Amino acid sequence: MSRLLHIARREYLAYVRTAGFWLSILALPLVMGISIGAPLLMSRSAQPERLAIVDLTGQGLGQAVTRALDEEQARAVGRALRTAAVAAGGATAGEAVRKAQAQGGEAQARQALAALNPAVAERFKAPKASSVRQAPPKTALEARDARAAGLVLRREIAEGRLDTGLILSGRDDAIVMDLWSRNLAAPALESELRGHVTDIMRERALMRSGVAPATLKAADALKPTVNSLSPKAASGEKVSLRDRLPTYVGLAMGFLLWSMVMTGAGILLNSVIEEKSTKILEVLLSSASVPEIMGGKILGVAGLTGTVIGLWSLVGVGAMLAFAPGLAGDLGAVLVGKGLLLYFAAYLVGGYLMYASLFAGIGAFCESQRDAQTLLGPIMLVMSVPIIFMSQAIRTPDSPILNILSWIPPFTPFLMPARIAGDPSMVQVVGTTVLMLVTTVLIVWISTKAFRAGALATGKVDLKGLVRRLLRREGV
Amino acid sequence: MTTALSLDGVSKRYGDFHAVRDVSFSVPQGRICGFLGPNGAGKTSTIRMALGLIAPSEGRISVLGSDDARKVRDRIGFLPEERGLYKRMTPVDAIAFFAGLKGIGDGEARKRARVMLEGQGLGPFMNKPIQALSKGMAQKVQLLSALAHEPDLVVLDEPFSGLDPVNQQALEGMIRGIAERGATVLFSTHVMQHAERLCDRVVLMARGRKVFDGDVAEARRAAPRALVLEGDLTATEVAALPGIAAVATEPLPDGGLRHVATLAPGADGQAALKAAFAGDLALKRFEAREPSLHDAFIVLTGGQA
Repeated sequence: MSRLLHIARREYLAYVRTAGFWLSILALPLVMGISIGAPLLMSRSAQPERLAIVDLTGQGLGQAVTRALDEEQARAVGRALRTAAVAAGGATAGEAVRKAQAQGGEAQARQALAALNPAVAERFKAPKASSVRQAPPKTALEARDARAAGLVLRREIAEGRLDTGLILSGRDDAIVMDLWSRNLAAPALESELRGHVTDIMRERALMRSGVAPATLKAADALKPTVNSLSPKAASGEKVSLRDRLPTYVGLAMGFLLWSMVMTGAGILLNSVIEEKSTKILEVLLSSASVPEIMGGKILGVAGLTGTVIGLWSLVGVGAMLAFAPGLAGDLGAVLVGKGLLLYFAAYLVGGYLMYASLFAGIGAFCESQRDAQTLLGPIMLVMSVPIIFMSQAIRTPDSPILNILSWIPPFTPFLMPARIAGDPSMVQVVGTTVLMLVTTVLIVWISTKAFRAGALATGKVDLKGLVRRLLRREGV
Repeated sequence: MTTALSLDGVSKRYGDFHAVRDVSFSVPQGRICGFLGPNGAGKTSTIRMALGLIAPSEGRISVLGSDDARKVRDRIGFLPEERGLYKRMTPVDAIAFFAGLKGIGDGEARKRARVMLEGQGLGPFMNKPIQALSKGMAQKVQLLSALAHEPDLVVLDEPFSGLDPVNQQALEGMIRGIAERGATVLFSTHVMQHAERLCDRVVLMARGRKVFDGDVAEARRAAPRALVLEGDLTATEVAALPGIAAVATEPLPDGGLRHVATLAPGADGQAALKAAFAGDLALKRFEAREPSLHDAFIVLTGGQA
């Protein structure tokens, strides 16, 4: 046992002391931080486009477009208020702000947020509008046609007094939009303006066909009241965001498990290859038994995986408590309350042991990465299957194919966490877990024999010889 | 005298290939035993069986009183033929790690590592990564890793390969030091000079079989003695001398010939010398040459080198 721990300690320290280990640990939070923060930073730092609308239709289309832009901005502010409420107070807070907004618009939503968390309400910054309207030059408004107006706007843009100019011409069903822009392409604003003009043209076409404006407004406002209900919901019927949270968490856990197991097994493989190619393995074999060497190496790399998960969890919890304490509370309740942490731990141990021992056994036959690729090719193919099917667990956690795949032990550690929120039957949970553990024990046993056979083997990887050796008893 | 290692009728087969056939020998405690043989003679397989790394197909092995080397791992030190260490480790860490595997506590292992490294002149390098060391230094570190736990049996597989003459001499000193401590050393080599200088006894392997087991003087006797004759005499005249079995001739740079005459078993070199004087041969130089271990090696392995 002391030799096992001694080898585990060396294995752990050998990686933990390298700069590459810490860089790779920092990489994920950094990439996540950038991917979340960068768009936010860009939208906050971006200045709204100075937009001038020249309406030559004589049908008040310009005013209608301006109104539509304002309404869109109000909706964006409403969404941001709800998001801030969820982050600060969880799913129920988000629901309260949504209701307040439905009843009294932005002002009431702000009041609801302030009632829930005054500090967050005070810090809240509404998203910037995509554009600010600017009065067009008089000469443009008085232009004979779109071309003449365009010449005026062109000069305004070229001389930096304007970013975008919209000229609306034509009538009724034949409206023409001339969009002058500072940039060669302004797809976001162009798309928004085109969408609003299209909606207005449709509304007006309906009105010309005799639909009363009141009817049209009422028709626009029509939408069903959707009640998502499920006997599995915490309330017993109505499904809330908190009820759905385990599904997303389970999926994230499945992906995290897959990447952790693969990373750990990969580190182990490289470590065994290094020891095999430098003949250190031979010295180790003269000093410790195969189970001690393999066990030590697996435990050492498990320590690395634990360190990575621990540090990432700390960073994640810290970030959530700082930026979204409400959501952190909900997430904690899901992880502990639904027992997801327990499942995560069980599948991590099972999956890691299964793949780590397999990779260690393979590594003992390899003098180089090229040798390893020959043997790992089919295994990597199998490993890609859970990744392909895992995301389907969100839509249909109980689909027959996912159900069947969950019973295949190499897939169980990744697919079951992703499906666990869908409350699969206890028979499935226990059955797949037991099967996974039995297979893990079997793979550890085979890998130990393979490690023993491979450690002293030399030359090219011989698959036939490998099978023959596995069936034979050897020393060590 | 207590036996540190003994093999009795040991064989090793890999499928149809016999790597080792019916090998028996023993090494008394506190002795230096050379395990000699050409490449592919079965030395490494025998060493691996002795260490318990692979199981023999037949036969019995006893190591330090145990029938299984794995039970006495902590009392054995091993240096494999092809050598390597963790490149990013420092010499102190490497020696302490391997000593730790043999049951030495971390503090004590580090203390011993420092003392040993200082003793070998590697003090200034003890905290540098091994990849920064020269090959000779790294080999010394690996040997120290095999010795830091003060083993009772030290098995060195081709310890001299890759070392320059200075480091070879230093290594010879280290091996003698191990034996002086009372430990047993079994080392394999195909460089006979080392075995000749170091060994109390030698075991010679060829084609998987043991072909000789005894002390160095005994091994030398297995090879025929030779006479070296130089002067203006022909090969035929040399071959005609009494007791001469064969003659090899080569020209000398300053004229004349050198003849290396192999004596027949039991023949007397002095009789040949007397006959040469009696025959009035134009002899400028006469030397009776005793066989070396290398000569014995060539004879005993049937010319395999």
